[in-house]
Amino acid sequence: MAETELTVKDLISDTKPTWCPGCGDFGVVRALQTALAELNIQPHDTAVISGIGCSSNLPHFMTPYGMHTIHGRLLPVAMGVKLANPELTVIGTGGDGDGYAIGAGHFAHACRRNVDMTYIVMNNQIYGLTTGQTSPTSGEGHTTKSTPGGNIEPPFNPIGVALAEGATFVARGFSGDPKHLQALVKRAIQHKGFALVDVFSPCVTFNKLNTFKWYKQTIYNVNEPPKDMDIEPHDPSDRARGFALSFPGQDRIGYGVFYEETGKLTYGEQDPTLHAGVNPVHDVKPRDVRALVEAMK
Amino acid sequence: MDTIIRVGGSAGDGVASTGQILARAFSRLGYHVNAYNSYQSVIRGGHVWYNIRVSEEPVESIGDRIDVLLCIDHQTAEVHAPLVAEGGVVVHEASKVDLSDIKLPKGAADIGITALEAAKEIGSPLLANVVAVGAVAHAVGLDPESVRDVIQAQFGRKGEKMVEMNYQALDKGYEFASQVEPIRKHGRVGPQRALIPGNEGIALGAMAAGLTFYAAYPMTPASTILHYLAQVGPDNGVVVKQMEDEIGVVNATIGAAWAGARAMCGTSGGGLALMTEAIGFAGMAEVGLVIVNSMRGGPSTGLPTKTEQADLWQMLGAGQGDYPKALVAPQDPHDAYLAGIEATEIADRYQMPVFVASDFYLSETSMTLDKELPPVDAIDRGAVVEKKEGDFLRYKITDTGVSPRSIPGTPELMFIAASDEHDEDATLISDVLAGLPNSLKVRIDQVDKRARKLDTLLKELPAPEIEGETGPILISWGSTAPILREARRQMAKDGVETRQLTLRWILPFHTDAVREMLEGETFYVIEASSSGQLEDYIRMRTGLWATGNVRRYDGEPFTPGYITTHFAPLVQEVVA
Ligand SMILES: Cc1ncc(C[n+]2csc(CCOP(=O)(O)OP(=O)(O)O)c2C)c(N)n1
Ligand code: SF4
Repeated sequence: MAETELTVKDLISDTKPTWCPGCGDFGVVRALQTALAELNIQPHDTAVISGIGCSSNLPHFMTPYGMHTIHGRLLPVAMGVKLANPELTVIGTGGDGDGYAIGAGHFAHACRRNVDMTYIVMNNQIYGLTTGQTSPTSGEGHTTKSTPGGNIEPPFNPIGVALAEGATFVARGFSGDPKHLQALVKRAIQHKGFALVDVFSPCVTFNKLNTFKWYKQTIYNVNEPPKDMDIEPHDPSDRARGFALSFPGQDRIGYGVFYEETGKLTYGEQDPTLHAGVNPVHDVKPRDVRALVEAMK
Repeated sequence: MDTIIRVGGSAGDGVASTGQILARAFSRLGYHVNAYNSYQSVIRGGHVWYNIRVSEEPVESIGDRIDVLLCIDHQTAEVHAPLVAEGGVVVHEASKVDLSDIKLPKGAADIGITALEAAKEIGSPLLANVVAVGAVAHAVGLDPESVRDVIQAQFGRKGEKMVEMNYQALDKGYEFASQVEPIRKHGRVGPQRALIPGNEGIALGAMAAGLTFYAAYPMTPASTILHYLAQVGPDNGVVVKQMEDEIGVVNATIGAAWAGARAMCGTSGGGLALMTEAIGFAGMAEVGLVIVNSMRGGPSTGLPTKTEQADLWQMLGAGQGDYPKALVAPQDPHDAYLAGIEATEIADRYQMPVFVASDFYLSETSMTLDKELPPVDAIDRGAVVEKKEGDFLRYKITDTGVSPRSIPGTPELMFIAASDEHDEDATLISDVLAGLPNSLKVRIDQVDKRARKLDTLLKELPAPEIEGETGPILISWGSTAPILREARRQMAKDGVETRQLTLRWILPFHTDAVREMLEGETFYVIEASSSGQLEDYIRMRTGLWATGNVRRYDGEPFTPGYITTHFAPLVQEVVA
């Protein structure tokens, strides 16, 4: 069947987003829809897998196949989907609490496993759906419902962790820079291997500190740094510098592509069963186990 | 006539491999074999033993005595010599065991061997076990050819020199024992039999039924499924993945199943505890997967290498809320194969989680098959829709409870599988629609629809049947059933007639049929649980109280002797 060129409209579902007006997540879903349309990846060949949180409602607002799983578990689910049917384009979408708190264990292992999938984290540095508690990415001193006296813990560094664990594409976007974000998401989907896109996606309702305005003043593009910072543009093949840039510097926080490694074999390419050409979905059939029983004599 | 051999030593002595050679020699001669590996949660030291019971008739338990005992260390003599039968044989490693302070039964022969020294002379201390095998083989009247056959099968790949050295070690063992009379003769009694542990049985069944994905995190006594499938999976179309924890395991399995694979995962109680939230997710999103739960002594880390049947409530209660799940408990490796097939099929067709309950004893005890394993001829994937015709309602309300399902990749049939409550077309009713008048009805309809799966499934499952003619009914589940069968035969010889009921499908449960069977009857529940979980469950379902029970929770498997000894006073009470 010849498939016609996709437009963004083909990726938008009938379900109206339930996010608060002005929520950063609108920009993320649009970036993803645009990227998939531009790459002409059919909705039926795509699986968007989310966890739980405001951000994790995203799959409902798109037309592809999807799973809205449980809090913190989208990565193992997405991995199961990809290993079962390598023909699908698999995209994980969730929040910072979902991915970096309750799901942190899976995050570390997904990064080192290099399953061919894209993981987009809508990082608002707060818990949205549960009405504004501290998140692993909340800054020190941040006053939230669960830290009325200010957050004591230093924040989780997702970019640094992803690099340390061996992710092969590590980037950060900003919902307030849609063009950059669309290009980033597109590049992440095209990347062969595990791609992390951490996106600053402001929660306009519960995070009065890390607002669109605050981000605009605080973040800089590591690949095209502003002149006043007087630093070299970052080359994404340089992992060590990417790691150094994952920490704030000169009171600024970097976004852009921190690391990109091409040519590394993915998990699926090395799995002995998949490598032998098996597709666990198409190849469900009765198996003759007589030889296996014979071997136990 | 049955023969029981026990090999004991400390971990690292090669107790299991010694036992396995002997067990295999018998199964290859056509004997029925039960080979139980009793070990501890230590890698070196401690006390481990391997029990081999063989017979021309099917073997239903490990038995209650020892005919030939091999003591690789002194502790074995201390612990197991009291079980040696009259006229039995004790083989001991003379460099480590001193039998002078050990009381042997009447007429028991004793053979001292210096296996380690002999092995070193032949060329490797590793051959000591084979020397010991030779001595035991002589004592049980196994012809050397039948043991050589196993050695050839086991070490053939390692080259002729290796095999030759093993033969020499074996001959040396026979020589050590030559002065005693074999307790009886064991020659060929039939074609070779396969020797299969319950875990491998489940795995084989699942593969026969088209399994293509298995995930696990190591945990005794489920780990051997992982080991086995990791070995044979790639050649048999199964992707096998060890995940970072059991939460990852079950979620990856759900992902694979949703994508359209036939998917299974395995664990024990501790891992199951971590899985439960996701199992409820599978119930809500209607994703079919198999979860093997091999029970060990609990709670918590409990007795990692000992058996129990006390996770019943954990499985029944897995996950918050009400949702359908099935639970089948096979009783032996042959039945485990059948349960592997049924669970894999039912999970896929009914789009729900299915538990296969095993336990340490069944999972790790190698038993011969007394019947052929039936093949699977065709696969029925249930209500899979391949083409869009009219409206596609993924969670359509149906009489059977099963809704049409699409496999991701199929054009025009996209949907979102959610852990939130949803409408027929998969729209959430948990956020902007929550609590609205129509959503109340949608909620009830969806809950009821899902629940109907169990009613539909129950109709295709045979009701359990009572074995035996008269007497009180003894009820058990899982691996206890065959042991109970043997115990009943022994009691019948002593004039105590009983009947037996095995509860194989725990969910869905044939409540009406079971109530009818038990109404007005005297019945007892035999189970490996201190609180009597099965007994409580039977009462919950039928409203009937058991007359009494036999419970074991010291970690050791039931034996016929354990059951008869504990049951006898109960029957006397009733008579009095
Ligand atoms: C096991 C479990 N614990 C807690 C919750 C409650 N919960 C729902 S969303 C959420 C955190 C939301 O924060 P985040 O993941 O950052 O997403 P956001 O809403 O900010 O997009 C929590 C704690 C849950 N659903 N499941
Ligand atoms: S609460 Fe915050 S994260 Fe949630 S939808 Fe509203 S703005 Fe977005």
